[in-house]
Amino acid sequence: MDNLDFCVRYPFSNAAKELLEKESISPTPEIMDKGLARLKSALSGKWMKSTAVHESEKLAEVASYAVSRMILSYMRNRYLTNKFAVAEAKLAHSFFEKEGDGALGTISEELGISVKKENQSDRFVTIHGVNGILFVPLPAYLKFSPRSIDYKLVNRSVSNGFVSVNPHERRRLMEEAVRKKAGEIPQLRGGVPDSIKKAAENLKSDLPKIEPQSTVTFKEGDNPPCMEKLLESLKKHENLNHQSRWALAVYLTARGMSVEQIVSLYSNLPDFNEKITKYQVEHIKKRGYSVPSCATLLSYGICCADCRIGSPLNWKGKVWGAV
Amino acid sequence: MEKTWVQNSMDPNERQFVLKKFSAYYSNANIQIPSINQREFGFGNIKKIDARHLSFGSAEAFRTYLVTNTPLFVSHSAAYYERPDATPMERKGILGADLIFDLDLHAEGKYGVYAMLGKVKDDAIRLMEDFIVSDFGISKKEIILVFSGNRGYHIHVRDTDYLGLGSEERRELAEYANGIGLNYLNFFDVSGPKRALRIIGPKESDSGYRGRFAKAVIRAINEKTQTFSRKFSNIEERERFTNGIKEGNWSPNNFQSVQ
Repeated sequence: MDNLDFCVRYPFSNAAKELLEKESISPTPEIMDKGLARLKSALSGKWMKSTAVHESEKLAEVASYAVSRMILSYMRNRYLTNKFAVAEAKLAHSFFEKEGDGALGTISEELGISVKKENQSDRFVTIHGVNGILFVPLPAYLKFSPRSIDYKLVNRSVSNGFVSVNPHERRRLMEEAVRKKAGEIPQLRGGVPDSIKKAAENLKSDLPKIEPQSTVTFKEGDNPPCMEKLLESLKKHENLNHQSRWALAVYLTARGMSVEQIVSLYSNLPDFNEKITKYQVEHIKKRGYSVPSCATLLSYGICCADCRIGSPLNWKGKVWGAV
Repeated sequence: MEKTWVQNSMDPNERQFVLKKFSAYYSNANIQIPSINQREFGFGNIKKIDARHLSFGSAEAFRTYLVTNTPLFVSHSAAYYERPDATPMERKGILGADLIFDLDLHAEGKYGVYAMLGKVKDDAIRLMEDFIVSDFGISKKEIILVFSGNRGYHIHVRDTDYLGLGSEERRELAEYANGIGLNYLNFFDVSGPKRALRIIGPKESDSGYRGRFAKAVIRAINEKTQTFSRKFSNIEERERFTNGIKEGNWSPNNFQSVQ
């Protein structure tokens, strides 16, 4: 029973996979519905906690994750896949907080983040008095740390191949690992069952009719490589960190894009929330932030070329007036 | 890609002589290329690479090729592939790649760099010892330091834990080594009222940039005393403060007696 609950919480785990194989569950209409509901709630930017009580319901819950992935594999829609990955990661994170050390360790290990409590070979400092410092192997830290300035390696304590993190940061790394794992959808093998095709049809009507895109179109080469890269990521529905979103919005505002246009562009983000985005972009416009300099962008890890222009606005020697 | 360099504009006799020497060298050379069967090779006689997408099943097969055909230029991929000889690139099936730190020098004129190579070598050794070994925890056995053949040094890391890193992650390591984005204010924890500030900061013995920062400040205070504060001309005050830093105590009241 404990194992079953664990699998409900972490349907991406090895335990869940083994459970489904052992029980040889076939996708019943109930499971198909749950799989579809999982995707629909992800699409609306929410994640639903399981309310299953009976064993069979719980099994169906675990199987619904696999069904969602089959539907995604058939649809091959990056927007939906990224939405799903973000929702699953947030859902898992909500459980991490209350998880005991043992289960958390198991799931962390499976995700490729094997933490150490202390490192005998070296002395470490406690940063800002946070207790319970953990040590994450550097390669895992690099793979799963969010691309934000707080997690930038240069500002972390790095020694002997380990990076120290506090328990909250460790859970954040795990969330990122779940997002990556859930977003990797394998190819469907063999024929596609009709039930999957039907579910996909049903979902299509919920997808934005025309994929949201900016109405201001830039010509190729209009923007410096860093901003171009962020715009490219947006088009591919990839997640952007806070600094990247902020820097891009300030830049686009300075280039004369309206709040509505920026919000519409940002609706490509897998965790898009119209209200929050609109508020933030309006705030940027109201405060009249100046576009971050190349040096700032470099420190944020956004700079990706050595254009030596001082500011993204100086790209190609032109200066676009701020609005 | 690693290169074996030779001047390309030479007369046929010189060329023959060089090729003979190369061939003799290759017949006994210690060929240390891990997972050689997963690497793509390129050879050249006119350009550095005239032919590529080649592969060898073993170091001995590679040696036989070099001894018999003796090209002027030889290079191998940093990446490991499932099918190193497949084309186009997408069909090779990338498995990972060595982590390579490239220290190049830019100087005026063709030979300007040679006078400065000693400095680059020192930097390469510092990068290897202070960062790659000490901070990244990579064993020296997994590292090779090679002369690029032209204007710098390359450090190859072959630790299997690092081979699967993507370009973003590799960039993060390079930025770490360059100190890009370092915010030293993060090192400090300030508490207490203004008159009796308690500042806890990095110690000399701390790992990574914290220790580097503490050491650099102590050195700077001792070397360029006047640029910091007149108080520090008093050797006792200076020592009191720098000894505080050694313990991680950066509080100004550490030298308050002269204020």
